[in-house]
Amino acid sequence: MELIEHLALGFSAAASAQNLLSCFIGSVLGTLIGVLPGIGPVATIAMLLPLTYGMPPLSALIMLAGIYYGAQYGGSTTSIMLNLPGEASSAITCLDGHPLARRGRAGAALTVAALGSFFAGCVGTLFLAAFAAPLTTFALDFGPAEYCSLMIFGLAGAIVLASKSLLKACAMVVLGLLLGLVGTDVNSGAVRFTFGIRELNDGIGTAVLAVGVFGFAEILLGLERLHEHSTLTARCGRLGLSRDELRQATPAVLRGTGLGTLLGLLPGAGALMPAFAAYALEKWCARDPGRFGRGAIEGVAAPESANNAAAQTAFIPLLTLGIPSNAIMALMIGAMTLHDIQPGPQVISHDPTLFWGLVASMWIGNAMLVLLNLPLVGLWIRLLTTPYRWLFPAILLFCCIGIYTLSHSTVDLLLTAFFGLLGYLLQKFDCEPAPLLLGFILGPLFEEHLRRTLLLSRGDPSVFLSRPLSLVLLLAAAALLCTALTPSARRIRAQALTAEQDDAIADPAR
Amino acid sequence: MITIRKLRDGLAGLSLALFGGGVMLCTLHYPVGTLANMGPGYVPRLLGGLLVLLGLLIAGTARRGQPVVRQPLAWRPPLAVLGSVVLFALTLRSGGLLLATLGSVMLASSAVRGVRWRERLAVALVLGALAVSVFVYGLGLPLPVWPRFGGI
Amino acid sequence: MKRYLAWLLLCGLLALHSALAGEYPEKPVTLVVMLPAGGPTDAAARVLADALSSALGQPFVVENRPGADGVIGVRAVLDAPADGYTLLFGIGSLVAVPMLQTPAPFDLQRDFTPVAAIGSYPFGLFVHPSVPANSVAELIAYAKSREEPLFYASSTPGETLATAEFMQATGVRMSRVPYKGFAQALPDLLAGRVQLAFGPVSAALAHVQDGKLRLLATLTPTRLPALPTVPTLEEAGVRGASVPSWQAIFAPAQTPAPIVERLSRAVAAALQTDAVRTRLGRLLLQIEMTPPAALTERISREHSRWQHFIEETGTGRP
Repeated sequence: MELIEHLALGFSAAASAQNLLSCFIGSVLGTLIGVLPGIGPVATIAMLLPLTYGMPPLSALIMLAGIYYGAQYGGSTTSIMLNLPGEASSAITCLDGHPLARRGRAGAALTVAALGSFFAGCVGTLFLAAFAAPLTTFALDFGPAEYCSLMIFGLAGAIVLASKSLLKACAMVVLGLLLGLVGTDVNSGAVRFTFGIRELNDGIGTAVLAVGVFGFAEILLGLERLHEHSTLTARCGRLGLSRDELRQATPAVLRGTGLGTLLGLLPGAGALMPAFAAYALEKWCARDPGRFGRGAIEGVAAPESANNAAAQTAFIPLLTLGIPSNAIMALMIGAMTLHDIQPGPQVISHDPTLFWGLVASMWIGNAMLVLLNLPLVGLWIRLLTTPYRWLFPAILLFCCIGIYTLSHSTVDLLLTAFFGLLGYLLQKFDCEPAPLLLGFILGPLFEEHLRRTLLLSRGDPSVFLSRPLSLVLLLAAAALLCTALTPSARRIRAQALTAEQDDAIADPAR
Repeated sequence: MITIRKLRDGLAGLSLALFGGGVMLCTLHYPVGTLANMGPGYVPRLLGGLLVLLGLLIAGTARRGQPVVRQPLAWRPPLAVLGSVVLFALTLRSGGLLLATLGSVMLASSAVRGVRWRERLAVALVLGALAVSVFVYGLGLPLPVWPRFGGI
Repeated sequence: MKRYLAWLLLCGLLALHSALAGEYPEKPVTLVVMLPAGGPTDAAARVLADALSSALGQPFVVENRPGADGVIGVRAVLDAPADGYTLLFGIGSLVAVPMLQTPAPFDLQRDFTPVAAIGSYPFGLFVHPSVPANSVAELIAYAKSREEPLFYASSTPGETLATAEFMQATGVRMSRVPYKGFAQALPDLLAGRVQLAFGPVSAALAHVQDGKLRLLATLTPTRLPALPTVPTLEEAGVRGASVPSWQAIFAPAQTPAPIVERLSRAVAAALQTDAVRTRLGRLLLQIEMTPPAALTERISREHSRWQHFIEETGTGRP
């Protein structure tokens, strides 16, 4: 067994005292950064880069990788507790994680997120170890036409995701798509919809929109909901999972892991795609989709697993092709070249200790994260018992600092305030913010790939149907939309709508 | 206190349609191009039109018989919370992290009525100390702590 | 005895003077990078900031102010006081940026004084192996023999400039496929959907060594020491096409001359040290110890090249 031999080599390299320490520092730091909203791993890794000059390359990479997946991990905590996506990719976790927390099941949500992430991280790592070499071409088979169809599939999913009115969800997706187009057009260099604000030339930041529409709007709603001395949740509830929750979460974790593993391989799919696709899949398979959006445990388990699985498999295009799937990966390339490693097909054969050591360290790091986070769950729960009148200024402040440090821009902060207002108004109009965020993230990718496809096909739109992968994705999108329009799905949505109103009516009496 | 009644859906639809129309107006300056070589205006104009259509549909199908939910629209929290973000943004560069924190936390905590100012000041001071120690000394972020005097 | 006391007094005064006036730098210096963290430019800036911190005894902090083709970073430096505590890590495209925006947001030659040139990133001409060409001449012949134009990937204005100059010099016509960055173009280039690209050598060298891409020529004045068999584009018979990819530190024009001089010397000394040389070498940055005056000259040369090109082709204007 070659694989076992390789893994043994990796573990012997990763288990040295120095590498274990850097793995630990990386994952702790990553968790911390993930918990602080807005402060991205990119800024942190960039700041730490000079510190790693003196380290051996393997230790340096282990630490940077630890920050990366640690941040993925930490981002889910604030999503669940405060409806605040610490990382954009954990915005999906807000949808059901925060309702769970408000119902007093924050412990269950955090535990599921931690265990699901650990499981997914292990599977993703194993997958990376076993299939890194044969899968290098998969990412290359995905051309602009396929990406474009994937985006259409994603947008169809965003509409299905809606738990209330379909029409409003459609409108929110389109609004998101339009917001995503703000900034410099990649093809022509023309600047669109910036109204002379230079800071908008590169578009609206994802964190700016996510923190505004989810985080700030939630604070405003929370202030309306709560009385002078109240806390976020009245009850703390049991920390662990009930048997029912475990039964519901397990298949969701498995499905989420599978989907995340596959989508992580595509460097152009965007950070939100794995989590979001997993969520849509869960809702699609569930017998009672009406529970989603109001605290379904699967709605936390699946996207969290998908996120972490994708975080691991995203290393495949990075290590074997030198193609980064996001800014953090781009930073890792910088770190590698500084340590005289050329990311590319030869890394596995030239530098087996480095490659397998890094793979093994991810396993160790994921285990450390679980050991670190499970005891912290109790501590996080205590946070919810802090009086809200003390808690919300703190949340607000940390958001502000985080957003500012993204690019040292005052304009970003003002924009976040604006999107907070927008998110608040949307809630008042009964429009859901999740399809908006998805449209926002997928919009620019969709436009870019659409235009590139038609450029390369010299204006012939039939390529979308003549390429098999693209055709399959388009058919899947059509199927998804059809199921949303079936009578049973409509009935469920109507039920959710009335239930929501019952809640709203019951609310003032509480 | 303003109450939003069943006008809600109609209002939402109309404002979305208006926004879509505004977008289409903006794209008049951008070249549209051809299918083979789309200009910067192609996709936005398409989407703007779609939004107008969807907005009108939402407004048109707003159900009358729907039970009406009284949702009070309070002005105090949005003003205090979003105002504190704006205040933080405007004071951070010149006033430093500490002053900006104190000011914005004091403003934000005025969103909740009936909290004594001494308590608010205490929260602001604790958060200020926390912010400086965690972000500036802990994470080493390049943020000014103290105010800048006389343009130095 | 009196003389002795006078000496003592003088020494004391001198000490007091230097303590009051202070030797630059007496507080942390901000080095603004106009690109996001993580790219080769950011990496080079951090290597240099690290070296300058230990040489001058104050931390040099890299601050990434990306956006609007670098204008946001440039404005940030110009808005700060010209006291040497806010510097710009500039790149070659800065010459062209003001020409592509109206009104011009800054003037590199008027608003800045060069502190030190650091070097430049070598660019190369990459083709997919499916293109039946092993040299630039064969590529030109092949491109002319085809009925449909070849596709080339380009992301920065510099790459577009070089390709346009290449097409002008050879009479070849090709279709541009725009990308956000070279890394985003790489999958399509490796899969052969796009046939060629002018790109940074460091980003695709591994694929060339693996046979997945062919490097036909480098766009450097001389052959790269790491790749002695690859000709320069000029040796291959095409003159006048290159990507301006220099990296240099600038200070606002009003910065006191002694401070600029002290910084210049410190950068030059840092570029002599082995640690800095090996780190920058790993990034494939070609170190060029150009004095500031030569950099000024180079900028004005490139200025006219861009102006000529933009007027002639209308490239970059929306």
